[in-house]
Amino acid sequence: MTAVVRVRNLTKRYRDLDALHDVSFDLHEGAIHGLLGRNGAGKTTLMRVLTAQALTTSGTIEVFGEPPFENERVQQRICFVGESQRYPASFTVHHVLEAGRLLYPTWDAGYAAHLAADFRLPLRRPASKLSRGMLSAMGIVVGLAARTPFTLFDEPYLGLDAVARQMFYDRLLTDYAEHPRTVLLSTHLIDEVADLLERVLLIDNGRLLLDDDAEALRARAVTVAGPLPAVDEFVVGRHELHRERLATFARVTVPGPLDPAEHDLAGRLGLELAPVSLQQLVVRATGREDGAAATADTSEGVLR
Amino acid sequence: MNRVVDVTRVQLLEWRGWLGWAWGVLALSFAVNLVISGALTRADLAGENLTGGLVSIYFVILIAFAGVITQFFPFCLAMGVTRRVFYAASGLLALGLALVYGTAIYVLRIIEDATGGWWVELHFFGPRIVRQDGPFLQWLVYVVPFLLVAGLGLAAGVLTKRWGTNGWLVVVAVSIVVFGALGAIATITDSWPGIGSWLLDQSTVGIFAGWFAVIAVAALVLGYLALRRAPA
Repeated sequence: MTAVVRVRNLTKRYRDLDALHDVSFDLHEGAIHGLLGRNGAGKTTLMRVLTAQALTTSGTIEVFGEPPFENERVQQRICFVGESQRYPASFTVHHVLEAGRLLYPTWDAGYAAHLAADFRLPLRRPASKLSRGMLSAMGIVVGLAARTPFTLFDEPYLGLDAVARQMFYDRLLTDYAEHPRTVLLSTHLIDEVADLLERVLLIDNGRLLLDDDAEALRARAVTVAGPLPAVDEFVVGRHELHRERLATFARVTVPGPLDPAEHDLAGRLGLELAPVSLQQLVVRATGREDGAAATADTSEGVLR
Repeated sequence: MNRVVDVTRVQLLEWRGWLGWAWGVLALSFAVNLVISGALTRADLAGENLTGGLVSIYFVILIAFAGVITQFFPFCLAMGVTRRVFYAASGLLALGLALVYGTAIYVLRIIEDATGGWWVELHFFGPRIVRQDGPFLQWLVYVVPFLLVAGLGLAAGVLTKRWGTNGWLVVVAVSIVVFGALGAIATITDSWPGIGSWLLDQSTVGIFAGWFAVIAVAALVLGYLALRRAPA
Protein backbone atom coordinates (compact mmCIF):
# COMPACT_ATOMS: atom_id res chain seq x y z
CA MET A 1 0.00 0.00 0.00
CA THR A 2 1.23 3.46 -0.81
CA ALA A 3 1.39 6.07 1.87
CA VAL A 4 -0.67 9.14 1.03
CA VAL A 5 0.40 10.86 4.21
CA ARG A 6 3.79 10.48 5.84
CA VAL A 7 4.38 12.11 9.20
CA ARG A 8 7.73 11.97 10.98
CA ASN A 9 8.60 13.26 14.46
CA LEU A 10 5.86 15.84 14.31
CA THR A 11 5.71 18.21 17.26
CA LYS A 12 3.33 21.13 17.66
CA ARG A 13 3.93 23.35 20.66
CA TYR A 14 1.66 26.08 22.01
CA ARG A 15 3.70 28.14 24.47
CA ASP A 16 4.67 25.54 27.06
CA LEU A 17 2.19 22.87 25.99
CA ASP A 18 3.04 20.11 23.52
CA ALA A 19 -0.23 19.64 21.66
CA LEU A 20 1.52 16.99 19.58
CA HIS A 21 4.71 15.31 20.67
CA ASP A 22 7.04 13.41 18.34
CA VAL A 23 4.25 11.81 16.31
CA SER A 24 5.14 9.55 13.39
CA PHE A 25 2.77 7.54 11.18
CA ASP A 26 1.64 6.86 7.63
CA LEU A 27 -1.87 6.99 6.20
CA HIS A 28 -2.46 4.47 3.45
CA GLU A 29 -4.05 5.14 0.11
CA GLY A 30 -7.68 4.14 -0.17
CA ALA A 31 -8.39 3.39 3.46
CA ILE A 32 -10.66 4.83 6.12
CA HIS A 33 -8.62 5.73 9.18
CA GLY A 34 -10.12 6.43 12.56
CA LEU A 35 -8.44 9.07 14.66
CA LEU A 36 -9.41 8.34 18.24
CA GLY A 37 -8.59 9.94 21.54
CA ARG A 38 -10.07 11.91 24.40
CA ASN A 39 -10.99 15.58 24.37
CA GLY A 40 -7.82 17.63 24.18
CA ALA A 41 -5.76 14.65 23.06
CA GLY A 42 -4.60 16.54 19.96
CA LYS A 43 -6.93 15.16 17.27
CA THR A 44 -8.03 18.52 15.88
CA THR A 45 -4.51 19.93 16.12
CA LEU A 46 -3.18 16.97 14.16
CA MET A 47 -5.80 17.44 11.44
CA ARG A 48 -5.17 21.15 11.24
CA VAL A 49 -1.45 20.60 10.84
CA LEU A 50 -1.94 17.86 8.22
CA THR A 51 -4.10 20.20 6.15
CA ALA A 52 -1.74 23.16 6.61
CA GLN A 53 -4.38 25.13 8.49
CA ALA A 54 -1.86 25.39 11.30
CA LEU A 55 1.94 25.33 11.27
CA THR A 56 4.22 22.66 12.69
CA THR A 57 6.81 23.37 15.37
CA SER A 58 9.15 20.61 14.22
CA GLY A 59 9.09 17.39 12.25
CA THR A 60 8.02 16.70 8.70
CA ILE A 61 4.71 16.13 6.96
CA GLU A 62 4.31 14.86 3.43
CA VAL A 63 0.96 14.60 1.70
CA PHE A 64 1.04 13.01 -1.76
CA GLY A 65 4.82 13.06 -1.39
CA GLU A 66 5.14 16.81 -0.81
CA PRO A 67 4.97 19.16 2.16
CA PRO A 68 1.39 20.49 2.15
CA PHE A 69 2.07 23.96 3.54
CA GLU A 70 1.28 26.60 0.91
CA ASN A 71 1.37 23.87 -1.73
CA GLU A 72 -1.28 24.54 -4.35
CA ARG A 73 -1.10 21.13 -6.00
CA VAL A 74 -1.49 19.28 -2.72
CA GLN A 75 -4.08 21.54 -1.12
CA GLN A 76 -6.56 21.19 -3.97
CA ARG A 77 -6.65 17.47 -3.25
CA ILE A 78 -7.43 17.89 0.45
CA CYS A 79 -10.79 18.64 2.01
CA PHE A 80 -10.98 19.36 5.73
CA VAL A 81 -14.38 19.26 7.39
CA GLY A 82 -13.80 20.86 10.77
CA GLU A 83 -16.04 20.45 13.76
CA SER A 84 -16.17 24.22 14.33
CA GLN A 85 -15.65 25.29 10.72
CA ARG A 86 -16.45 28.96 10.16
CA TYR A 87 -18.51 29.97 7.16
CA PRO A 88 -18.95 33.52 5.86
CA ALA A 89 -21.98 34.75 7.80
CA SER A 90 -23.90 35.81 4.71
CA PHE A 91 -23.27 32.53 2.87
CA THR A 92 -26.25 30.27 2.35
CA VAL A 93 -25.97 26.50 1.97
CA HIS A 94 -26.23 27.12 -1.76
CA HIS A 95 -23.23 29.49 -1.66
CA VAL A 96 -21.14 26.97 0.26
CA LEU A 97 -21.87 24.29 -2.33
CA GLU A 98 -21.07 26.75 -5.14
CA ALA A 99 -17.75 27.49 -3.45
CA GLY A 100 -17.04 23.76 -3.40
CA ARG A 101 -17.73 23.58 -7.12
CA LEU A 102 -15.37 26.48 -7.81
CA LEU A 103 -12.55 25.29 -5.57
CA TYR A 104 -12.41 21.51 -6.06
CA PRO A 105 -11.55 20.03 -9.45
CA THR A 106 -13.06 16.74 -8.23
CA TRP A 107 -16.34 18.30 -6.99
CA ASP A 108 -19.53 16.50 -8.05
CA ALA A 109 -22.32 19.10 -8.12
CA GLY A 110 -25.08 16.57 -8.84
CA TYR A 111 -24.02 14.42 -5.91
CA ALA A 112 -23.81 17.51 -3.66
CA ALA A 113 -27.39 18.52 -4.55
CA HIS A 114 -28.55 14.97 -3.96
CA LEU A 115 -26.86 14.79 -0.55
CA ALA A 116 -28.18 18.21 0.47
CA ALA A 117 -31.70 17.00 -0.27
CA ASP A 118 -31.12 13.77 1.66
CA PHE A 119 -29.94 15.69 4.70
CA ARG A 120 -32.87 18.11 4.25
CA LEU A 121 -30.62 21.15 4.08
CA PRO A 122 -32.44 24.46 3.41
CA LEU A 123 -30.43 25.73 0.43
CA ARG A 124 -31.41 29.38 0.83
CA ARG A 125 -30.77 29.66 4.56
CA PRO A 126 -27.65 31.57 5.66
CA ALA A 127 -25.00 29.56 7.49
CA SER A 128 -25.39 31.85 10.50
CA LYS A 129 -28.99 30.67 10.89
CA LEU A 130 -28.33 26.94 10.60
CA SER A 131 -28.68 24.71 13.64
CA ARG A 132 -25.67 22.80 14.94
CA GLY A 133 -26.92 19.66 13.25
CA MET A 134 -27.48 21.41 9.91
CA LEU A 135 -23.98 22.89 10.03
CA SER A 136 -22.60 19.40 10.58
CA ALA A 137 -24.70 18.05 7.72
CA MET A 138 -23.46 20.81 5.42
CA GLY A 139 -19.85 19.93 6.33
CA ILE A 140 -20.55 16.29 5.55
CA VAL A 141 -22.06 17.18 2.17
CA VAL A 142 -18.96 19.25 1.32
CA GLY A 143 -16.60 16.51 2.48
CA LEU A 144 -18.34 13.79 0.48
CA ALA A 145 -19.08 15.79 -2.70
CA ALA A 146 -15.55 17.22 -2.89
CA ARG A 147 -14.34 13.67 -3.61
CA THR A 148 -10.82 14.78 -2.78
CA PRO A 149 -8.20 12.02 -2.65
CA PHE A 150 -7.56 12.95 0.99
CA THR A 151 -10.59 13.90 3.06
CA LEU A 152 -10.63 14.68 6.77
CA PHE A 153 -13.70 14.74 8.98
CA ASP A 154 -13.22 16.16 12.46
CA GLU A 155 -16.11 14.94 14.64
CA PRO A 156 -18.51 15.61 11.78
CA TYR A 157 -21.62 14.39 13.58
CA LEU A 158 -22.09 17.05 16.30
CA GLY A 159 -25.78 17.79 16.72
CA LEU A 160 -26.82 15.16 14.19
CA ASP A 161 -29.58 12.76 15.15
CA ALA A 162 -29.11 9.01 14.91
CA VAL A 163 -30.81 8.81 11.50
CA ALA A 164 -28.57 11.46 9.98
CA ARG A 165 -25.45 9.90 11.51
CA GLN A 166 -26.36 6.53 10.04
CA MET A 167 -26.96 8.23 6.70
CA PHE A 168 -23.48 9.76 6.90
CA TYR A 169 -21.86 6.38 7.57
CA ASP A 170 -23.85 4.73 4.77
CA ARG A 171 -23.09 7.44 2.23
CA LEU A 172 -19.44 7.50 3.19
CA LEU A 173 -19.13 3.74 2.69
CA THR A 174 -21.08 3.70 -0.59
CA ASP A 175 -19.28 6.64 -2.14
CA TYR A 176 -15.95 5.43 -0.83
CA ALA A 177 -16.51 2.10 -2.58
CA GLU A 178 -17.20 3.84 -5.90
CA HIS A 179 -14.59 6.57 -5.49
CA PRO A 180 -11.81 5.21 -3.28
CA ARG A 181 -9.95 7.84 -1.34
CA THR A 182 -8.03 8.25 1.87
CA VAL A 183 -10.24 9.27 4.76
CA LEU A 184 -9.24 10.38 8.24
CA LEU A 185 -12.20 10.48 10.60
CA SER A 186 -11.91 11.69 14.17
CA THR A 187 -14.70 10.64 16.46
CA HIS A 188 -15.83 9.93 20.00
CA LEU A 189 -18.65 7.63 18.88
CA ILE A 190 -16.23 4.77 18.46
CA ASP A 191 -18.67 1.88 18.49
CA GLU A 192 -20.78 3.57 15.80
CA VAL A 193 -17.92 3.74 13.33
CA ALA A 194 -15.95 0.68 14.40
CA ASP A 195 -17.11 -1.29 11.36
CA LEU A 196 -16.15 1.53 9.00
CA LEU A 197 -12.56 1.76 10.10
CA GLU A 198 -9.76 -0.13 8.45
CA ARG A 199 -6.97 1.53 10.41
CA VAL A 200 -7.00 3.09 13.84
CA LEU A 201 -4.78 5.82 15.23
CA LEU A 202 -5.11 6.55 18.90
CA ILE A 203 -3.58 9.63 20.44
CA ASP A 204 -3.47 10.73 24.01
CA ASN A 205 -1.82 13.82 25.46
CA GLY A 206 -0.38 14.62 22.05
CA ARG A 207 1.35 11.25 21.75
CA LEU A 208 0.50 8.49 19.34
CA LEU A 209 -0.41 5.45 21.46
CA LEU A 210 -1.49 3.18 18.68
CA ASP A 211 -1.45 2.82 14.92
CA ASP A 212 -2.75 -0.50 13.65
CA ASP A 213 -5.29 -2.40 11.57
CA ALA A 214 -8.72 -2.30 13.17
CA GLU A 215 -8.96 -6.06 12.71
CA ALA A 216 -5.64 -6.80 14.39
CA LEU A 217 -6.57 -4.42 17.14
CA ARG A 218 -9.76 -6.23 17.96
CA ALA A 219 -7.82 -9.46 18.34
CA ARG A 220 -5.39 -7.89 20.75
CA ALA A 221 -7.56 -8.46 23.76
CA VAL A 222 -10.24 -10.95 24.74
CA THR A 223 -12.77 -10.82 27.52
CA VAL A 224 -13.33 -14.01 29.45
CA ALA A 225 -16.55 -14.19 31.41
CA GLY A 226 -18.04 -16.87 33.68
CA PRO A 227 -18.08 -18.19 37.24
CA LEU A 228 -15.20 -16.79 39.29
CA PRO A 229 -13.31 -20.09 39.93
CA ALA A 230 -13.44 -21.06 36.26
CA VAL A 231 -12.28 -17.64 35.15
CA ASP A 232 -9.46 -17.70 37.67
CA GLU A 233 -8.39 -21.13 36.42
CA PHE A 234 -8.34 -19.87 32.84
CA VAL A 235 -6.43 -16.63 33.44
CA VAL A 236 -3.86 -17.99 35.87
CA GLY A 237 -0.40 -16.90 34.81
CA ARG A 238 -1.80 -14.43 32.27
CA HIS A 239 -1.46 -10.67 32.29
CA GLU A 240 -4.79 -9.25 33.38
CA LEU A 241 -5.70 -6.04 31.61
CA HIS A 242 -8.96 -5.53 33.37
CA ARG A 243 -11.11 -7.35 35.91
CA GLU A 244 -14.71 -6.86 36.88
CA ARG A 245 -16.44 -8.93 39.55
CA LEU A 246 -20.07 -9.30 40.46
CA ALA A 247 -20.65 -11.71 43.36
CA THR A 248 -19.45 -15.10 42.04
CA PHE A 249 -19.29 -13.93 38.43
CA ALA A 250 -16.14 -12.45 36.89
CA ARG A 251 -15.17 -10.80 33.62
CA VAL A 252 -11.46 -10.50 32.87
CA THR A 253 -9.75 -9.00 29.87
CA VAL A 254 -6.53 -10.67 28.75
CA PRO A 255 -4.21 -10.06 25.81
CA GLY A 256 -5.19 -11.94 22.66
CA PRO A 257 -5.38 -13.65 20.33
CA LEU A 258 -6.14 -17.04 21.84
CA ASP A 259 -5.07 -20.26 20.11
CA PRO A 260 -7.51 -23.18 19.41
CA ALA A 261 -6.37 -25.08 22.51
CA GLU A 262 -7.22 -22.06 24.64
CA HIS A 263 -10.62 -21.82 22.98
CA ASP A 264 -11.20 -25.49 23.83
CA LEU A 265 -10.19 -24.91 27.43
CA ALA A 266 -12.58 -21.98 27.70
CA GLY A 267 -15.36 -24.15 26.26
CA ARG A 268 -14.68 -26.95 28.77
CA LEU A 269 -14.72 -24.49 31.66
CA GLY A 270 -18.03 -23.06 30.43
CA LEU A 271 -16.56 -19.62 29.86
CA GLU A 272 -17.79 -17.04 27.44
CA LEU A 273 -15.18 -15.45 25.15
CA ALA A 274 -15.83 -12.09 23.53
CA PRO A 275 -13.63 -9.77 21.56
CA VAL A 276 -13.08 -6.42 23.20
CA SER A 277 -14.83 -3.62 21.39
CA LEU A 278 -12.74 -0.84 19.96
CA GLN A 279 -14.41 1.54 22.35
CA GLN A 280 -13.48 -0.54 25.39
CA LEU A 281 -9.95 -0.81 24.10
CA VAL A 282 -9.70 2.94 23.78
CA VAL A 283 -11.21 3.51 27.20
CA ARG A 284 -8.75 1.10 28.77
CA ALA A 285 -5.80 2.59 26.94
CA THR A 286 -6.56 6.20 27.70
CA GLY A 287 -8.55 6.02 30.95
CA ARG A 288 -7.20 8.15 33.76
CA GLU A 289 -9.14 6.86 36.75
CA ASP A 290 -6.33 4.66 38.08
CA GLY A 291 -3.68 7.30 37.80
CA ALA A 292 -0.98 7.73 35.22
CA ALA A 293 1.16 4.76 36.24
CA ALA A 294 -1.69 2.26 36.05
CA THR A 295 -2.76 3.69 32.71
CA ALA A 296 0.69 3.35 31.27
CA ASP A 297 0.75 -0.23 32.49
CA THR A 298 -2.67 -1.05 31.03
CA SER A 299 -1.97 0.56 27.71
CA GLU A 300 1.37 -1.25 27.49
CA GLY A 301 -0.52 -4.47 28.08
CA VAL A 302 -3.17 -3.80 25.48
CA LEU A 303 -0.99 -2.23 22.91
CA ARG A 304 2.22 -4.21 22.85
CA MET B 1 -3.98 32.50 -12.02
CA ASN B 2 -7.20 30.61 -12.73
CA ARG B 3 -7.22 29.50 -9.15
CA VAL B 4 -6.91 33.12 -7.99
CA VAL B 5 -9.88 34.09 -10.14
CA ASP B 6 -11.88 31.15 -8.77
CA VAL B 7 -11.22 32.27 -5.19
CA THR B 8 -12.26 35.83 -6.11
CA ARG B 9 -15.46 34.37 -7.53
CA VAL B 10 -16.05 32.60 -4.22
CA GLN B 11 -15.60 35.93 -2.43
CA LEU B 12 -18.13 37.42 -4.84
CA LEU B 13 -20.70 34.60 -4.61
CA GLU B 14 -22.69 36.77 -2.26
CA TRP B 15 -22.37 39.78 -4.61
CA ARG B 16 -25.69 41.22 -3.48
CA GLY B 17 -24.08 42.00 -0.14
CA TRP B 18 -21.13 43.76 -1.79
CA LEU B 19 -23.43 45.87 -3.94
CA GLY B 20 -26.22 46.36 -1.44
CA TRP B 21 -24.24 47.53 1.56
CA ALA B 22 -21.91 49.87 -0.29
CA TRP B 23 -24.46 51.53 -2.55
CA GLY B 24 -27.29 51.28 -0.05
CA VAL B 25 -25.36 53.25 2.54
CA LEU B 26 -24.21 55.72 -0.10
CA ALA B 27 -27.77 56.13 -1.40
CA LEU B 28 -28.98 56.79 2.13
CA SER B 29 -26.29 59.38 2.68
CA PHE B 30 -27.12 60.93 -0.70
CA ALA B 31 -30.85 61.03 0.07
CA VAL B 32 -30.27 62.82 3.37
CA ASN B 33 -28.02 65.36 1.67
CA LEU B 34 -30.50 65.83 -1.13
CA VAL B 35 -33.30 66.61 1.31
CA ILE B 36 -31.14 69.06 3.23
CA SER B 37 -29.96 70.75 0.04
CA GLY B 38 -33.49 71.00 -1.25
CA ALA B 39 -34.59 72.66 1.98
CA LEU B 40 -31.81 75.22 1.89
CA THR B 41 -32.40 78.43 0.03
CA ARG B 42 -29.75 80.05 -2.11
CA ALA B 43 -29.13 82.61 0.58
CA ASP B 44 -28.15 79.89 3.04
CA LEU B 45 -25.36 78.71 0.83
CA ALA B 46 -22.06 80.41 1.46
CA GLY B 47 -20.40 79.64 -1.83
CA GLU B 48 -20.88 75.87 -2.20
CA ASN B 49 -22.93 73.24 -0.43
CA LEU B 50 -20.10 71.05 0.83
CA THR B 51 -20.73 67.53 2.09
CA GLY B 52 -18.53 64.62 3.05
CA GLY B 53 -21.26 62.03 2.53
CA LEU B 54 -19.23 60.34 -0.19
CA VAL B 55 -16.88 59.01 2.49
CA SER B 56 -19.59 56.57 3.64
CA ILE B 57 -19.04 54.13 0.77
CA TYR B 58 -15.31 54.05 1.47
CA PHE B 59 -16.04 53.15 5.10
CA VAL B 60 -18.30 50.31 4.02
CA ILE B 61 -15.51 48.91 1.85
CA LEU B 62 -13.02 49.22 4.72
CA ILE B 63 -15.26 47.09 6.93
CA ALA B 64 -16.08 44.65 4.14
CA PHE B 65 -12.40 43.94 3.47
CA ALA B 66 -11.70 43.32 7.14
CA GLY B 67 -14.50 40.75 6.84
CA VAL B 68 -12.79 39.15 3.85
CA ILE B 69 -10.06 38.00 6.23
CA THR B 70 -12.10 37.17 9.32
CA GLN B 71 -14.90 35.40 7.41
CA PHE B 72 -13.52 34.04 4.16
CA PHE B 73 -9.96 33.17 5.12
CA PRO B 74 -10.76 30.24 7.47
CA PHE B 75 -13.43 29.00 5.06
CA CYS B 76 -11.24 29.08 1.97
CA LEU B 77 -8.27 27.45 3.72
CA ALA B 78 -10.46 24.55 4.80
CA MET B 79 -11.52 24.26 1.14
CA GLY B 80 -7.97 23.67 -0.07
CA VAL B 81 -6.86 27.23 -0.89
CA THR B 82 -3.37 28.38 0.05
CA ARG B 83 -2.71 31.63 1.90
CA ARG B 84 -0.82 33.01 -1.09
CA VAL B 85 -3.66 32.38 -3.53
CA PHE B 86 -6.24 33.63 -1.06
CA TYR B 87 -4.38 36.89 -0.57
CA ALA B 88 -3.83 37.36 -4.30
CA ALA B 89 -7.57 36.81 -4.83
CA SER B 90 -8.36 39.39 -2.17
CA GLY B 91 -6.01 41.85 -3.88
CA LEU B 92 -7.67 41.13 -7.22
CA LEU B 93 -11.06 41.74 -5.62
CA ALA B 94 -9.81 45.05 -4.18
CA LEU B 95 -8.46 46.14 -7.55
CA GLY B 96 -11.57 45.16 -9.49
CA LEU B 97 -13.86 46.73 -6.95
CA ALA B 98 -11.83 49.98 -6.87
CA LEU B 99 -11.96 50.24 -10.66
CA VAL B 100 -15.70 49.55 -10.91
CA TYR B 101 -16.84 51.57 -7.91
CA GLY B 102 -14.40 54.42 -8.62
CA THR B 103 -15.60 54.64 -12.20
CA ALA B 104 -19.24 54.55 -11.08
CA ILE B 105 -18.66 57.49 -8.76
CA TYR B 106 -16.83 59.32 -11.53
CA VAL B 107 -19.84 58.81 -13.80
CA LEU B 108 -22.20 60.01 -11.07
CA ARG B 109 -20.00 63.06 -10.69
CA ILE B 110 -20.40 63.81 -14.40
CA ILE B 111 -24.17 63.51 -14.05
CA GLU B 112 -24.03 65.71 -10.99
CA ASP B 113 -22.23 68.43 -12.93
CA ALA B 114 -24.59 68.11 -15.90
CA THR B 115 -27.66 68.51 -13.71
CA GLY B 116 -26.34 71.48 -11.78
CA GLY B 117 -25.90 69.46 -8.59
CA TRP B 118 -29.05 67.39 -8.94
CA TRP B 119 -31.01 70.63 -9.53
CA VAL B 120 -30.37 71.77 -5.96
CA GLU B 121 -26.66 72.59 -6.21
CA LEU B 122 -25.68 69.56 -4.18
CA HIS B 123 -22.04 68.63 -4.79
CA PHE B 124 -22.22 65.17 -3.29
CA PHE B 125 -19.94 63.22 -5.65
CA GLY B 126 -17.72 66.16 -6.55
CA PRO B 127 -17.05 68.25 -3.44
CA ARG B 128 -14.59 71.09 -4.04
CA ILE B 129 -11.61 69.41 -2.38
CA VAL B 130 -11.54 66.47 -4.79
CA ARG B 131 -12.03 68.50 -7.98
CA GLN B 132 -9.38 67.95 -10.62
CA ASP B 133 -8.78 69.39 -14.05
CA GLY B 134 -8.20 66.36 -16.21
CA PRO B 135 -10.65 63.46 -16.40
CA PHE B 136 -7.91 60.89 -15.73
CA LEU B 137 -6.68 62.61 -12.58
CA GLN B 138 -10.27 63.06 -11.45
CA TRP B 139 -10.92 59.36 -12.00
CA LEU B 140 -7.74 58.43 -10.07
CA VAL B 141 -8.88 60.52 -7.12
CA TYR B 142 -11.99 58.34 -6.89
CA VAL B 143 -10.32 54.98 -7.56
CA VAL B 144 -7.19 55.03 -5.41
CA PRO B 145 -8.95 55.72 -2.09
CA PHE B 146 -10.88 52.48 -2.65
CA LEU B 147 -7.54 50.66 -2.84
CA LEU B 148 -6.48 52.44 0.34
CA VAL B 149 -9.53 51.36 2.38
CA ALA B 150 -9.41 47.85 0.92
CA GLY B 151 -5.73 47.55 1.85
CA LEU B 152 -6.30 48.96 5.33
CA GLY B 153 -9.31 46.68 5.78
CA LEU B 154 -7.31 43.60 4.79
CA ALA B 155 -4.45 44.60 7.10
CA ALA B 156 -6.89 45.20 9.97
CA GLY B 157 -8.51 41.83 9.30
CA VAL B 158 -5.14 40.07 9.32
CA LEU B 159 -4.16 41.81 12.55
CA THR B 160 -7.42 40.69 14.17
CA LYS B 161 -7.15 37.17 12.77
CA ARG B 162 -3.57 36.58 13.80
CA TRP B 163 -3.13 38.51 17.05
CA GLY B 164 -6.65 39.48 18.16
CA THR B 165 -7.19 42.12 20.84
CA ASN B 166 -3.59 41.98 22.02
CA GLY B 167 -2.46 42.80 18.50
CA TRP B 168 -4.61 45.92 18.44
CA LEU B 169 -3.39 46.98 21.89
CA VAL B 170 0.22 46.65 20.74
CA VAL B 171 -0.52 48.66 17.59
CA VAL B 172 -2.16 51.42 19.63
CA ALA B 173 0.68 51.45 22.16
CA VAL B 174 3.37 51.53 19.47
CA SER B 175 1.49 54.29 17.60
CA ILE B 176 1.33 56.43 20.74
CA VAL B 177 5.06 56.02 21.32
CA VAL B 178 6.06 56.58 17.69
CA PHE B 179 3.83 59.58 17.02
CA GLY B 180 4.58 61.00 20.46
CA ALA B 181 8.31 60.74 19.75
CA LEU B 182 7.92 62.27 16.29
CA GLY B 183 5.87 65.11 17.77
CA ALA B 184 8.50 65.70 20.44
CA ILE B 185 11.27 65.75 17.85
CA ALA B 186 9.27 68.19 15.71
CA THR B 187 8.77 70.44 18.75
CA ILE B 188 12.41 70.32 19.88
CA THR B 189 13.75 70.97 16.40
CA ASP B 190 11.06 73.61 15.89
CA SER B 191 9.99 72.06 12.59
CA TRP B 192 6.19 72.35 12.92
CA PRO B 193 5.93 75.32 10.55
CA GLY B 194 7.92 73.36 7.95
CA ILE B 195 5.67 70.31 8.35
CA GLY B 196 2.58 72.50 8.11
CA SER B 197 3.63 74.16 4.90
CA TRP B 198 4.74 70.82 3.44
CA LEU B 199 1.26 69.42 4.11
CA LEU B 200 -0.39 72.49 2.61
CA ASP B 201 1.83 72.17 -0.44
CA GLN B 202 0.53 68.70 -1.22
CA SER B 203 -1.94 68.69 -4.08
CA THR B 204 -5.22 66.78 -3.93
CA VAL B 205 -3.90 64.34 -6.50
CA GLY B 206 -0.68 64.03 -4.55
CA ILE B 207 -2.60 62.97 -1.46
CA PHE B 208 -5.51 61.01 -2.94
CA ALA B 209 -3.68 59.24 -5.73
CA GLY B 210 -0.06 59.42 -4.53
CA TRP B 211 0.18 59.06 -0.77
CA PHE B 212 -2.94 56.94 -0.54
CA ALA B 213 -1.47 54.51 -3.06
CA VAL B 214 1.78 54.34 -1.07
CA ILE B 215 -0.10 53.60 2.17
CA ALA B 216 -2.34 51.07 0.40
CA VAL B 217 0.66 49.16 -0.95
CA ALA B 218 2.37 49.26 2.45
CA ALA B 219 -0.78 47.90 4.14
CA LEU B 220 -1.15 45.16 1.53
CA VAL B 221 2.49 44.10 1.91
CA LEU B 222 2.37 44.09 5.72
CA GLY B 223 -0.94 42.19 5.60
CA TYR B 224 0.58 39.55 3.38
CA LEU B 225 3.68 39.13 5.54
CA ALA B 226 1.49 38.57 8.60
CA LEU B 227 -1.00 36.29 6.84
CA ARG B 228 1.68 34.12 5.27
CA ARG B 229 2.18 32.22 8.52
CA ALA B 230 -1.23 32.74 10.10
CA PRO B 231 -3.28 29.76 11.24
CA ALA B 232 -6.69 29.52 9.60
